[in-house]
Amino acid sequence: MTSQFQEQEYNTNSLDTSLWRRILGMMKSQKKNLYMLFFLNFFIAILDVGFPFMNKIAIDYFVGNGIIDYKLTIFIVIFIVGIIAQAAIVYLFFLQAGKIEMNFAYEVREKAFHKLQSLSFSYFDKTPIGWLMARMTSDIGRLAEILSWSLMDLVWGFSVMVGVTIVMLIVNWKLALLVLIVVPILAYLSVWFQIRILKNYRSVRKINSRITSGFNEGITGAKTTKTLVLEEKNFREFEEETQNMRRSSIKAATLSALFMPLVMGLGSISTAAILWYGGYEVLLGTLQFGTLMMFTQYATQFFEPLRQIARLIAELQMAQASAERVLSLLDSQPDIVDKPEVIEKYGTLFDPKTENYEPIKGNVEFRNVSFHYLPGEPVLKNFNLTVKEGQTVALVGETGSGKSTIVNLLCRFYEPVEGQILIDGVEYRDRSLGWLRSRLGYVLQSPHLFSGTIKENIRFGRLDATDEEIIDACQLVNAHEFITKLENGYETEVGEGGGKLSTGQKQLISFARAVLVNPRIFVLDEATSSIDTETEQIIQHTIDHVLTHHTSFIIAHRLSTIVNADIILVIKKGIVVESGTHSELMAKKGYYYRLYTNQFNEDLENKLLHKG
Amino acid sequence: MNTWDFVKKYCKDNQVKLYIMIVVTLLYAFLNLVSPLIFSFFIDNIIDNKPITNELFGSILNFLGGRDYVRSNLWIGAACVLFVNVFVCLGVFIRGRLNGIISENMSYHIRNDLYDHLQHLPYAYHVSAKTGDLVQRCTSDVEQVRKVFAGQLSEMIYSVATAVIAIIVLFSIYPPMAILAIVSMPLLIFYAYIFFKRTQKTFLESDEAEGTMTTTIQESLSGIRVIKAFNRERYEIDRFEKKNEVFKNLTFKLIRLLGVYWSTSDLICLSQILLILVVGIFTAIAGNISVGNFFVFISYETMILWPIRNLGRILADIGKATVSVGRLNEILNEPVEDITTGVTPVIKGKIEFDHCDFQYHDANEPILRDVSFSIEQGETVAIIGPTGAGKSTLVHLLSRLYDYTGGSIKIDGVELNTIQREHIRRHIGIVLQEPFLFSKTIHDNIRLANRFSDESKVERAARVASVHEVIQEFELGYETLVGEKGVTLSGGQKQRIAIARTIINETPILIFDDSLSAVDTETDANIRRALNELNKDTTKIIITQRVSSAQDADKILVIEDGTITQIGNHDSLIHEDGLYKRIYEIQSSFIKGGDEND
Repeated sequence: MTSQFQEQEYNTNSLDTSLWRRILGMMKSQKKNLYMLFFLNFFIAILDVGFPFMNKIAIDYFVGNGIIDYKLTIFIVIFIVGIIAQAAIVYLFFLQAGKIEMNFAYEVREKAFHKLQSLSFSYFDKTPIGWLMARMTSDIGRLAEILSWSLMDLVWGFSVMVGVTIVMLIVNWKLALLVLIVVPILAYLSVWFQIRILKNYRSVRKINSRITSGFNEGITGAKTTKTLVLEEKNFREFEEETQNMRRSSIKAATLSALFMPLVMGLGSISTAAILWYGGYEVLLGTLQFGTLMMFTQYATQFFEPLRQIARLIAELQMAQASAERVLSLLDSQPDIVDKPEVIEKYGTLFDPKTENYEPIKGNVEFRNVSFHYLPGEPVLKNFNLTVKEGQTVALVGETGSGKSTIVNLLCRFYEPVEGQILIDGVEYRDRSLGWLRSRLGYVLQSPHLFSGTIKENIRFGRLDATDEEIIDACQLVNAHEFITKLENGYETEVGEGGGKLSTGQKQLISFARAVLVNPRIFVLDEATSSIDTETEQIIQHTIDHVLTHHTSFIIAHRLSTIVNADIILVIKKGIVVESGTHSELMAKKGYYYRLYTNQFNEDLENKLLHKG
Repeated sequence: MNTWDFVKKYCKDNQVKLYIMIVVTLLYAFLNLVSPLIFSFFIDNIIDNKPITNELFGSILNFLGGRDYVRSNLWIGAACVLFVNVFVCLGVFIRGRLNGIISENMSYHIRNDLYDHLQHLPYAYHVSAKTGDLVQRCTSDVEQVRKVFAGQLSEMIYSVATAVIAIIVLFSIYPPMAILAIVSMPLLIFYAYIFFKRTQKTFLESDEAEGTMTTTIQESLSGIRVIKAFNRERYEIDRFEKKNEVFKNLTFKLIRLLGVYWSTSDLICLSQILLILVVGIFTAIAGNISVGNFFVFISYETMILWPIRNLGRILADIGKATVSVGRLNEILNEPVEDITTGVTPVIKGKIEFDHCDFQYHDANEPILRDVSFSIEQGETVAIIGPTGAGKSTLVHLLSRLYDYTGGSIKIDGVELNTIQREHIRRHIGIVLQEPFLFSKTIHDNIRLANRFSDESKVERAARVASVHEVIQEFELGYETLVGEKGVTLSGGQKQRIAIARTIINETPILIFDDSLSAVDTETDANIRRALNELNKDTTKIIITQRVSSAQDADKILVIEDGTITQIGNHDSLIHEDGLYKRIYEIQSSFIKGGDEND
């Protein structure tokens, strides 16, 4: 399952043009900036070719002829214009390239984030967060950089090379050939090296990300490490990675270190050839000093654009995987979507028409519902259940028996494969997701809090709630007391993932958050497992008496939590094996009876159960 | 440790390489400047017929066969250029490779030290640690330091050396023009330095904005189920949009500033070149310098200006690296926990608390007060009490994750705070409330702490923890990957794997810190039964909320608000007014209640 999410190896040598065309298509909004940038690039190239030419004029015309006349003023004026143009163009270039880079990244991130928010549970079940994070951050960032700066370097490189070639050929075609003769070798070498350098660099990055997760795990798991005395063992494993990193990095550095002098060496062959052949021409009087000098400058100037072009070619190959992965994220389709006619009436998830939402009473019916996560592995089969408004349903059974599946279906995190779920007599797929979920109070087993204050976390339940309402909700679930005992009370920062609070405290806060919604349907998925009995008793009281008009679904192991439910469903491997009220089930002396009498010893059992 | 100590410490192993790198860089800078001189010499003294003033050049020329010979064999000049360049290239290569080795050696040691240090910081540090911030320091701050040694340092040496040598040569050619050639240099360095110093704040802001944006994505993804359940997609998008926008704008601002910098520095550099061109024209025509020397001036001017322009940036980057070193030192200066000193008595499992107090370092009042009780070897003790009463703290004291601040705790008669931490932790198996599984296979997670490399123990431990069957149901069984990159396990499954990995070593003392909360009552009972059968001599401490889990214990401690309010066993406590009885009544009344409703 994880294989598809592992870093893809670099294995292609060809560019996937249709892929890049799609990516370029995403830059539509940047069209104007792009044209502007191409235009600027062209000018930069002209200037780059022009400045060495000015040197030549200075030596050949003025010094060579030994005259200073009005032309020197023209020379200076042209040069100054060139300087100002250079400064202005460089500034504009940064502006445009920066705009393209940041706008592209911004837009793609925005799109991808929208997509993430619309994807269903099933997608997140099988996609690791780390994988998604890499797409959202580094992949998009890399693409944006390539499509702005690197692409421009390519255009610049070509323009400079073409410009230099033309000027050289015009001025002295024989010397030009001496410079150009090494270009094919240079080009070949550059591409060869750049691909390998980038490949090395990529493997270094891969190891680097392993080191980062090593640190991450070392720090988050530090408490566990201490209790199991794993310090040495962990360190040895970590050291293996850093050792690896050192080896690969030195390899990569060596390769880069080799590339530069090789290309410089090749360049100096050109320079030497120019001196040799050009020297003769000067001796013969067919060439001027300044021209000779200009050629030596051009010979070195040829190298940088070539390197940039080679780098871009290599980068594009490497970034192809990034592009593919980003597109695959953007192309993912949510499993659970509203029908077009539903969207028309109730709006989308992001843009709901709440005024059209019918109120929910809380009658729930599962009608012949079957469900599986994977084909061939049914979790629920022909499940039927009718719950009236205000009733409490408790789901009991072993871990993995399918209890959570039932409430997940109710919340429409998944949809039935067969059968229907009706809310107030209406098939819930005929109403929008927002309609259902805006009336839902859901408390998860592992409570997730967002970083921010306690108050902000509770307000997540209802954004327009006043402070008083938040305090009321906390009092209802008995969280008020512990919160006010904290130094900063409701303003206490809960830390990353609520890390600064105990599990029980987190459960209470997520409970208050759900209560604040004032939901019509309440779902508690083992929501009180880490709360002490007396607190739980108070919560129980809240559920039983304060929220009495709400339909509730409760999954719990602790008997006290479920005993007052109107319906208790005992579920075993996706099938309801027993159902009824607590006393009915106890009287039946079946599975439920065994499950819960187990909690107390034989003695007590007899005393309590047989005295009536 | 201050910044300088840090640098010294990590340079120590690379001292020789560093010196070689510096020497090679100096040679490279020097040789790199020779090429234009050869050119100039050939232009002036071979091709043109100027008299040779420089004695060194004169004797070299004589060695090569005299002016006329060389003039008819111009390839000799070409060969000289190539000859010098071979050494330049060699220098570049050696410098690059040495930079790689030095910087990688350093970051290797820094990373290892950081990791090792973090692992040995006390429990309390990790409770309040900000993971994101620490990881950030261990990665980007190390990278910042690495970059200095990977090139910036040698680049700086190169720039300075080039400038100094070039200026000396230029002055030896024609001092008045040399002065004009360097007139913009102080301005350029100063401008670059001030600029990058000033923009550091913007750099930082952009980095921070990126961090915030990343955190927002991260949080939104890990809380996606909550977001969907509360229909808060729109809210999240708006939140993200703001962060995304801030990041975009700040980074754009930074790019624009860089644009300002590069364009103004271009302006300065090119004006300087224009100046030297115009002055050169006049000087050359006046006959004060030769054409070849004019060429040297122009070549050197560009060779100096470009590196100098970078110098300011390098200085600012080195400044940033100094800040990074400070941030790393903050971690490395944090005192570690000593896990190796202390006595190592045989631990059997007798525990005595005698008027023990404990107060958290940052708290206003003690969390445990006057706790006294004793546990015999092989006894099972249940601890029950409300959230926040101090139950977990109590067992953390036993593993010396914290040291008690008053009274005494004795393990088999030995004062606990004299026992070696590593020793005590090896003999106390504690399953934490929220266990952490490493990104390894289930098999490797369970055998993590197994010191006897007896593979059969893995499955046995899994069976005792009632998780063997669950594991078997996974497609890959024990080879299933868990943790961040692996399958998502339920809370109960995680707890049971954590139990298996703890009991694999058969420690004399076993502690369960509410570690069966997510497991159903039947499985809970099964695990406790299996544990009892496994080893009767093991002392067990079970923190629980369930009376059913506590009732079989030899001893039950009731903790409320930091003190022990009741000690007894199930039978005695249900007849005694107090919390236990109340909990018992709540939990058991339902069984009774069910009957009463009939």
